[in-house]
Amino acid sequence: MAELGHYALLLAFLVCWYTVFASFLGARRSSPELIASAYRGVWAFLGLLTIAGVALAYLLAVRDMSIEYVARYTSSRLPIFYAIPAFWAGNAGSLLLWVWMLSAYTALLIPRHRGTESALVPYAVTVLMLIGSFFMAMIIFLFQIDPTMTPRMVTDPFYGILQAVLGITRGGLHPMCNPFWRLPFVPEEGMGLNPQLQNPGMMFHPPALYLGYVGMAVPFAFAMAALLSRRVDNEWLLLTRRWTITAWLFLSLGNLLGAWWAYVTLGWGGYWAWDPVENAAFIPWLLSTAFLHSVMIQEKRGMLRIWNMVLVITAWAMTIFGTYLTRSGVISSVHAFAHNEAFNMSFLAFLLTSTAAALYLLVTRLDLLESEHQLDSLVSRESAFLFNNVIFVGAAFVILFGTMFPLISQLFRGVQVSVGPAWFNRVLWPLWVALLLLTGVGPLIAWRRADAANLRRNFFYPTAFAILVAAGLPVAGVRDGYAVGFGALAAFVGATVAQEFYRGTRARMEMAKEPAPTALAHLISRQNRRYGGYVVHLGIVLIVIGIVGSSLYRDEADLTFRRGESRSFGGASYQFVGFRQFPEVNRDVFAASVAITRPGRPARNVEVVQEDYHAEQMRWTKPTILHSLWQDVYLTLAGFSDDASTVTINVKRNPLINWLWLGGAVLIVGTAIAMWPDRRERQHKRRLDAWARGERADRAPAEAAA
Amino acid sequence: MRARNVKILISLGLVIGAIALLMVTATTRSGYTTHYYRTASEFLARAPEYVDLPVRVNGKVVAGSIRRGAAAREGGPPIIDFVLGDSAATIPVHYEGTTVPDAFREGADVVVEGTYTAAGILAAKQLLVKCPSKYESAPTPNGQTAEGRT
Repeated sequence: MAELGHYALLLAFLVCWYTVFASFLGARRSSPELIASAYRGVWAFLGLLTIAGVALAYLLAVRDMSIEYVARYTSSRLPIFYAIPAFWAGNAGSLLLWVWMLSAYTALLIPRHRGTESALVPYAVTVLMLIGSFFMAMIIFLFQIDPTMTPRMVTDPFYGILQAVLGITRGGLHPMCNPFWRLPFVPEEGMGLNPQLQNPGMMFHPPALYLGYVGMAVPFAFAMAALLSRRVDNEWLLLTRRWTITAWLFLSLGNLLGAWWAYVTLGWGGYWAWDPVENAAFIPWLLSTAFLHSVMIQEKRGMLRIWNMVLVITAWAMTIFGTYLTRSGVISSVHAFAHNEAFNMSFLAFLLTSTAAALYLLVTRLDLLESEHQLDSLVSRESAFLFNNVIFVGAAFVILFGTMFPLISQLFRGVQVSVGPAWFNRVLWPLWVALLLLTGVGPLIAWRRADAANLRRNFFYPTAFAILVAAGLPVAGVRDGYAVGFGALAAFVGATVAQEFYRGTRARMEMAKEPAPTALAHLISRQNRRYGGYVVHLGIVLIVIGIVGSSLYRDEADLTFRRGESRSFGGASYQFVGFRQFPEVNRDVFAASVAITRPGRPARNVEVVQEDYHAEQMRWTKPTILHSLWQDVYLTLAGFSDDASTVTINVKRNPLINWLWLGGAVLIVGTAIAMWPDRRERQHKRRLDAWARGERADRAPAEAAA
Repeated sequence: MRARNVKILISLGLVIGAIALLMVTATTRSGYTTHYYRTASEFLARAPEYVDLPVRVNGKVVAGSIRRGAAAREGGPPIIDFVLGDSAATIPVHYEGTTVPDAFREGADVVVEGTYTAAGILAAKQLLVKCPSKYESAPTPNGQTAEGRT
C-alpha cells in the first residue's frame, strides 16, 4: 500500500510537469487539443494524488508501524478518528494535503463545456501546476543523509537508484517529506499523537487553513494568466471573485478554529498569543481581506489595477511564507522548532523565485494597467476603500515586522530581541479603530464624491446612536476608555448595517408591495453579495465586542482549598467537594470535583481534570469551561497534594468571549450568503447547459460567468 | 488633478507615518514590550548587561534540579526553583506563578520569561515549554535500535 502511494506520487510528479508544458503551449498556440490534453493531465494529477492520499489514510487507519510517518504520529491505542487526521499532523502528510488541495482547486477550474471558457484558464492552470510541481519535488526529492543508516538499508528501488546516482556511500538516503517512507525495522509501538491535538478543533483547523492558503493561489494564478496573456481588463477579477471569497472563507475559518482550539485545549485561558505561527495565518487573511475590497473598486471604477496585482502577488507570497515559517524553525516559537536547512533553503528559493517572476511580469506590463479613472475626492467610497487597503496592508506589515523582529534585531544589533503581545497590541489598536470606523463608513458613503447631504442622510442616525452608547456605557459601569471607544464604534457600525437592512426592506415593501419578512428575504437573495457582506461586517462587530470584553475585563484567581472548604470569586462560591483518580484506555485521569454556587441558584458540580497520557508521556491540564453569553468561567486544576487533600484551582472569568465565536459564525454565514450564485448566474448556467446539450443552435452564451 | 493627487499622497503619507511612529515608540520603549532572547550560555556571557531587564532565556531544565517549595503565602501556589541550562552554562530560576505548563519536567526545552536579578537568579514571570514539535525532521522513534526486525 505504501508502495502504491509512493509510485502514485512519482507518476503525479511527471504528470504535473507534462501539464505545465501542455497547458502553456496550448494557450500560446491556441491549440484546443493541447489544452484538452493538459486538462486531462490535471484530472490525472488529482486522481493520482487521491490514490496517494487514500493510501496514506489507510496506512494510518490500520496503524502500519513500518511506515515512519505512521509510527511518528499514531499509536495502537489512538482512536481511529484521530489516527486518520494524523495525516496532517506532520510535515510530509501536510505537504501532501496541500498539493492535493491544489490539484482539486485546479480541477475545479476546468470548464465543463468546451468553448465557453476564458482564454485565461490554460495559463492559470500552468501557474497552478508549476506551484504543484515545487511541492511534489519537495515531497519526493528532499532528503538528508542519515548517519544512523547504511546505504544497504534503503530498500526502495527509486531511492536506491537515487542514492547510487548521487554516490552516497556513507549513511543512508532518508527522504524528509515523503509520507510513505518505510523504516528499516518495525517499531513495537508508535509515538502517539500529542493529546492536545486529539480534539475536533485540530481535526478541522489545518484543513480549513490549508484550503484558505491554497485557495489564494487561484486568484494569483489568474492574475499571472492575465499578465501572461496581456488580458488585464476586469476579466480575471470576475473569474476569480468566487475563488477569492472561498479562500477568504477558509482563511477566516482556519484562524477562528485555531483560536478556539487554543482556548479550549491549552488551558491558559487565552485564544491568541501573537505567536509566529498564528501571525503566519493572520497576515494572509489581512491581505486577502484588503484584496476582496480593492477588487470592488477595480470592478466599479477601473482603478487600483496595479495595486490589485501587487496585492494578490503579496497575499499569495505570504501564504507560502506562512507555510515556510511554520515549519522552518527560523523564528523561535513555542510551536515550531524543527531545523532543516535543505527544506528551509528550498522553500525560500521557491518563494523568492516565484515572487520575482511575478513582479517581472507585472513590471513589463505596467503600461497596460493604467487606471481608467482618478480619485475624485477624499470623501468618497473609493477613498474609504483605499484607506481600508492601506491600513490592512499596514497591519499585515506591522505583524510581519514584529514576527521577524528577532532576525532583524540580530542583523542590526547582533542580539535577538523578541516582541510580545504588548507590542502588537500597542501598535495595532489605532489601526483596528480606523478599520472599524471604515467598516461603518465605507459601505454607505457615496461613490466619487460625498456631499454634506449624502453624509447627513447616511450617517446621522448611526452617529447619534454611537454617541448615545458612548454616553451610556460609563453610566452602566464601563469606564475603561478603550472599552467605551470600541463600544461606540461597534455601535456605529452595527447601526449602519441595521439602517441598510431597514431601508432596503422598506423600499421593497413599497415597490413590490411585499410584507416585511418576504421583502427582507428577497432583498437578501436578490442582492446577496451586498447584504451578505453586511452580515460579515456584523460578524466583525460581534467579534470586536468579544475581544474587547474578554481582553479588558478578564479576571482570575488561584483558589487553594482543602476538601470541603469554600472560596468565593467573581460573584460565585467554589467548594472543593471530592477527588478521584481513575485509568482510561490511554491515560490516567485525576479529577477534582468542584461545586459552584451563585446566589439564588442551585449548586453546579463540575470536574476539573489533569490527564496523564501513557504512550505520549505527557500530562495535560484540561480546562473546564462554563459558557454563557455574558462570560466564560474557565477552570483549571493547577495542582494537588499527593494525598489529594488540598487542591489549587485556577479560575478565570472571560466576559463576553462567546460573542467572539458567535461573531465568527455570523461571519461565516454572511460569507456563504455573499458567495451564493445569484439569479443572473443561475440563468446563465442554465443557458450554458442547454447549449451544451444541443438544445440551442446558436453560439455558446458569451457572457463570462461572474 | 494635481491638487487632488497631492491631497491623496499627503493623507496616505500621514497614515503610513502614523503606523511607523507607533512601531518606533513601541519598540524603543523597552520594558514591557521587548524581550532579549538568548540561550543560557549566550545569556551568561553578557549577564551583567541584562540586570533588571525583561529577558527570555532558552534552555533545558537540568535533571534533578526542580525543587517545589512551600507556598509563599497562605493558600498560594508552591514556589518552583530549578536550574536552566544548555550544554555550556546554567542559570538558577525562581518561579512563583501557578501556571506551570503540562510539559514542564526535567529535560524539557523551556523558554523562561522574566527579569534577571542582580543576585544572578532569573525571576520568572512565565514558563513557556516548547510544544512537542509537529514538524520535526525525521527522528527515530523512542527506544529503538538501528538493528531491529525488518
